[in-house]
Amino acid sequence: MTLKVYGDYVSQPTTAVLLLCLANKIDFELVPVNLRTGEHLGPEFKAINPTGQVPVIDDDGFILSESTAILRYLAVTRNVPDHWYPKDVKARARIDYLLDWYHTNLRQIAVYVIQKELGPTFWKIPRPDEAQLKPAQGKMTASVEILEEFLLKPEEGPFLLGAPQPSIADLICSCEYTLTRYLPQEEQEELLGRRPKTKKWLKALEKTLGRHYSEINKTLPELLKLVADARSSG
Amino acid sequence: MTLKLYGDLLSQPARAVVILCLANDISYELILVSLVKLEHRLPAFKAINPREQLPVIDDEGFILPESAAILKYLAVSHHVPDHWYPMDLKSRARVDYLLDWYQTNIRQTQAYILKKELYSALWKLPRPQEAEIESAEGTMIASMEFVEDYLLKPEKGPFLLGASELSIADILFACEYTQTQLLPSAEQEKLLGKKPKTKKWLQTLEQSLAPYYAQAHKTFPELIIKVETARNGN
Repeated sequence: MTLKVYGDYVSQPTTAVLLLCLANKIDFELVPVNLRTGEHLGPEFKAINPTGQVPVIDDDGFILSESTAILRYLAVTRNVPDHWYPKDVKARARIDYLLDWYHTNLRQIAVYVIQKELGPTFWKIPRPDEAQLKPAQGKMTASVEILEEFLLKPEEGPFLLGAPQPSIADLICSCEYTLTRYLPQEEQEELLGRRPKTKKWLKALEKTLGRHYSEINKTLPELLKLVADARSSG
Repeated sequence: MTLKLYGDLLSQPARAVVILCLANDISYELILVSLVKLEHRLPAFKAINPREQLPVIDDEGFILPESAAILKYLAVSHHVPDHWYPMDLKSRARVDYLLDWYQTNIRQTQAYILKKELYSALWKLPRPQEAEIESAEGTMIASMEFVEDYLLKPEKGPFLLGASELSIADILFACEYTQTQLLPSAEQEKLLGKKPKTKKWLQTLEQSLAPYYAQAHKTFPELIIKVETARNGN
């Protein structure tokens, strides 16, 4: 039975899982769960995952949620090339560290972007003012700064922690940065402008996984337009 | 060279690492980095981990932060009994799921207790805004309800997700719950009073790991006195 991935392209963790599948020719069937219409909160999906969160996989009846658990599971069960989630205990521990750090740090990008742009656009939540956004913005900026300062070592290798090849940590982290494209241009520039190592890393990933990124980001132009229009109509 | 564990028993994740080591005869040296004295911000510790995070291990020069990553690494590299972090891919995926869910859910318990009780009791800091405390409280309550309603299946087994033996997820979660002992009794009762499955699970864990639990929580009696004094003194 083909692997089922329940998700939505607007969810970055979903796109990270799809990216791993595409890059490794893992057959899957995307079962859309429309976050914009609140389908994830309906009884049908909650029967599959009571938290209402995507992505979720159904691997021949084995149901698993939490994107990073899914990425690990697919990497080991599908025998993908070692660099995605190395068998070496120390190399694997470094990736586990990155995946944990992502949850409590880099995921703040989503918290901020959802609060500022996606919530008001898609779920008609009132637009927060600058003061209300400050805490989330601070946490996001701090995380982006940490990645730039401590987690990239281009003198050793182009990927996270100086690895010569990408891992599942590179996938989940880079997909998070895609969310920044929903922000106004000046804000994107402010966030990434003075972070050359980050820009280089994102480019290296895009180069390695080019057409797969295009595939997972195919709904992005339409979504970006919706967000920009909502922003200008106030 | 003995494993070095940089930490403070005030920290829930540090206690979980201590319990794993004690329960499996993994020799370690606990190097106290006092959170109360803000020692994690001193140059001596920053030289080990520029990110100022605890706990961190130094395994013969291999430095690793992030408690979930540390627990996995120690379980695998010290070949502990399988139940701690099973080799079976699906069982392991379930533990990964729990550890990932923990990061953005039950781990937020620490934010609530920190802000409501510990800031003033231990650091003499002013109490944060009510809204901030309420938000942390909301996440904590929702997480504990989710554990009670969905993650404990005593009809299958006494541990998380109905496992018959405990895993690293059980101890990491449990150390968040023990931190609630720093709250007023009435509040502890409110949180755990109507959660029979949770109370049973915590009891079973404590019994299974008795001397190690006691060791990891040895600073609690003194801490509780400090917190109660501050609470009554204000």
